[in-house]
Amino acid sequence: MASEKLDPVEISFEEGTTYGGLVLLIASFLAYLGIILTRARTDQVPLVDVAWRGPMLLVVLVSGVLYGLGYLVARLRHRGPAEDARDREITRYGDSISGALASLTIFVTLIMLALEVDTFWVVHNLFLGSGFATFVGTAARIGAYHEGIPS
Amino acid sequence: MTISERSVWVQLVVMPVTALIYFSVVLTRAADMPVKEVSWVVPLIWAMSAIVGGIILGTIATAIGTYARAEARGVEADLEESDVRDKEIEHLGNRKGQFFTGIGTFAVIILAMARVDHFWIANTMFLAGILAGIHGGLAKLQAYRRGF
Repeated sequence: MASEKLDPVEISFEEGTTYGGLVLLIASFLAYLGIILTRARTDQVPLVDVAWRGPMLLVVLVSGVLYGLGYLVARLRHRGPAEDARDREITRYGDSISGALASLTIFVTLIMLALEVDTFWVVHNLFLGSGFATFVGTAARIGAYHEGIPS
Repeated sequence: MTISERSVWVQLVVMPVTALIYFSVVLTRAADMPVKEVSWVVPLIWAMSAIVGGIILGTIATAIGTYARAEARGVEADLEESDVRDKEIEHLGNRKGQFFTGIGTFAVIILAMARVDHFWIANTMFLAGILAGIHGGLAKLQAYRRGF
């Protein structure tokens, strides 16, 4: 986690894990994209027919476990309380934004299901949509750490 | 009571009622025939429109009600604009709602991977959305009534 290298007065524990989470999120997205595109190219099949189920589960599980482990290690190394009132407010603010985007994703998913869209696209809308929601929420949190919560 | 708080109350009435009606219609149909033939799309569109429309109309109606009550008592109506506290509570509620959104999203991805009929996928997703809305609404109400 980034918090270990930086001055602990300058950056809070929660801010450090936020950076770590952002890096991990981007890395797992790129890894998934890499696997799927490579499979589509080497197997000479259209994108929709790629075997995406295994890689998706793998990426979700691996990044989840890595985040959990990273958080645990950082928490054990960190002395003192993990978060203060400011951290809580910023977390709430960021999660609120990703929550709104996640509900939008659910809405779009329902429409796609109603239109009988191919399962590949439904699942990827959901997968990428919630990933994007988390990304925007995390970016908003980092912004809030630097510039404060916009009113 | 601010306008945001009133809309939370309305949401907590409209969402469960609509969901109850929707699921009783669709699930009784599903019990009578194979799920492939159940027409759930139109009821779902109705249910979603009812939720959005119900919350908007209900919020307007409660505002009018507050105004009329104050008028009847002969005092100046205080409709209370939303403030910083409302915004913070909004954030809190949206955050709580994420719990069910997350679980629902994961469940739907698994169902889709298992190639389950779209009927079940869509209804799981809708149920998750409803539960998230109710859970978030309850959290907001608690914050309004008892503080954070």
